[in-house]
Amino acid sequence: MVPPAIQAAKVLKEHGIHALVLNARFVKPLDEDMILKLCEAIPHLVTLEENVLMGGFGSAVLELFSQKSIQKTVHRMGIPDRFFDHATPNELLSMCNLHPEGIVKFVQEKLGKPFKKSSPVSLVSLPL
Amino acid sequence: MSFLHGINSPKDLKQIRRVDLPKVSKEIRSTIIEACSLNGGHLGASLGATDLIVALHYVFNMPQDKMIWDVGHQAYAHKALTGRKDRLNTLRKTNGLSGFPKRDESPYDTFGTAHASTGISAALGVKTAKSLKGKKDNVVVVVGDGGLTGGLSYEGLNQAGHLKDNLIVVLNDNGMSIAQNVGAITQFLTKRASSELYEKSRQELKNLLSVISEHGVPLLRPIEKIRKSLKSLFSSGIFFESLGFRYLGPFDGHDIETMVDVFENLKHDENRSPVLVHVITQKGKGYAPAENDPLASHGVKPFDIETGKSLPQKKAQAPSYTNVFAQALIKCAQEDQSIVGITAAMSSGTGIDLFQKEFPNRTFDVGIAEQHATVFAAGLATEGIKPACAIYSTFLQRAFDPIIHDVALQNLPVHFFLDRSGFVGDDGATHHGVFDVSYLRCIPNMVIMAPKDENELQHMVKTSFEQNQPTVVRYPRGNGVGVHMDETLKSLPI
Ligand SMILES: Cc1ncc(C[n+]2csc(CCOP(=O)(O)OP(=O)(O)O)c2C)c(N)n1
Repeated sequence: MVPPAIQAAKVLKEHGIHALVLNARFVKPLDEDMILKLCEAIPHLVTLEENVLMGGFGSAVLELFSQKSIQKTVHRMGIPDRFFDHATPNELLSMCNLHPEGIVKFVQEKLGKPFKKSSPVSLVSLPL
Repeated sequence: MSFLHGINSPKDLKQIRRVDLPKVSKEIRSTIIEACSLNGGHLGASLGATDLIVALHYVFNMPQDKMIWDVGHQAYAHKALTGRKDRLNTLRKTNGLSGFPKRDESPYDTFGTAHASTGISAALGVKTAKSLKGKKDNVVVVVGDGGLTGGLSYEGLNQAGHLKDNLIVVLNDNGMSIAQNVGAITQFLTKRASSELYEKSRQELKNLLSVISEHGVPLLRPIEKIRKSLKSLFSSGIFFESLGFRYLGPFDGHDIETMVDVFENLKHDENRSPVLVHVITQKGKGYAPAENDPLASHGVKPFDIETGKSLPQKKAQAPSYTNVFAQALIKCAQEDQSIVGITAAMSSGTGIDLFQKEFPNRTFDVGIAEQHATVFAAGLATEGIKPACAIYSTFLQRAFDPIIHDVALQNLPVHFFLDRSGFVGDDGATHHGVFDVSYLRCIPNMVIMAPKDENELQHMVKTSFEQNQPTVVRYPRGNGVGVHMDETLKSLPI
């Protein structure tokens, strides 16, 4: 998810949104310090993973926030709670919005349009 | 396509004269070859099982009788005979037919399969349900010799021999898993194949059957006789008989007439115990390029029918993750004698075949047995050996309990490398590796990594072996992103 996240960040920049992409290469143990620092500095947080949403990487971030009593919305992108039949990997990814256009759209929807220029976002992405 | 054209369900097949069945098979094979040449697929196994499938559908009455296909990758002919021949060219395509049996695709697909060795258990469940409902319908399961390397198969056989219901297990033995099948059971099965004995049994059967048909009596007794006369010849028979099965065979799985005779017999014998019918087939049968290279024919990419050669693909800009993993593993193992490679019957898919070339004595193909692979690795780790378990994300699901109970609970440094994580594409819902983060994250002591590119993957391989605890690296199918590869592997700070 890092390469599509980087592509999405480029597009978001054209829309005046600064997105920082974090390569979360360790799912466990989670790099807690880094994520907490990020969320202090940047108002919006989106997690990305090519794994089911339930119990996945985004859940790990939610658990961290819960544990630290941090009141912050985590926008999670990943695979929803249903089975997916055969199709090309690209088709499957786009069904889950896990392609650059989907990520841009998701961020736009979650953050509300039009963007405030001063509203950066961090895309914390599980690699793959 | 004069025969197949008119076959829209197994009922139509039954109208065809027995002598013409080989022609039906031939037409089905052409359809399968064409479909696979367009879309890729499990060509070798499906060609090998075609004659067997024709014989089964000729005799049994689907969908009232039930057939279950272990793994299910060999069942393309079943799809062709059950109303899906015209859609076979959509196999594995988006919105097309699934490459495996699927309950919501057809009433003839009794049970969804794809992960190996479930067939016998599922069939026993179906058979037992029939008995509970007072029905005598036949239930047949076809399992490969590869499927028999998975422990679940024996759990099914164990209960089936005990319940004594007249389940029919057909062992489709081609001596191959994806690669050459390995293990003691396989050797045991192959002992029978001395061609002289095999020929003799066939002849004997032919003689007996000709006597029967002259007199027009039910075929039950002769089968009993055949069984007795052949039993002593084949050691594999003794094995299954001791589990409470009647053992019949081995038969030539390309001799449709013989198989029809055998199945007709069984169909009408309501009181029998469970039976195991051993048939010998050839992977890739009927298509020279597949016969000549059964390993490559297991799962093919689109190819040219004339030559059997894969169609030229766009040249990859970067090495595959599988290859990068294998090279990094080899590098690590050159420096650390205690590293060994483990595969569960997937040596070429996981890159363990490359490791095996360098370190044949440090490579273990354990059969289609992910659960065993994990406990075996845990045992190795207690003695200071560093096992690299290279298993597809989807197949590691089989090993959930051992990962918790045997590896993580004892904090043993077993190192898992999960190829095909994320969506896999054409194999579909049964194969997507999209659960691993969730099912592994919740286990104490695990370290879980995922590389953003192939360079990071090679460093993660090294990083894994430096942890004195269980580790997992998950990476996707296909090629890397084309980044620079560092010469020396380094350890990443966790
Ligand atoms: C649990 C599991 N592990 C690995 C695989 C991958 N796989 C697909 S087919 C196959 C070999 C099956 O051999 P066999 O049952 O003899 O069938 P054949 O292809 O020879 O007809 C393997 C290992 C699988 N389907 N399921």
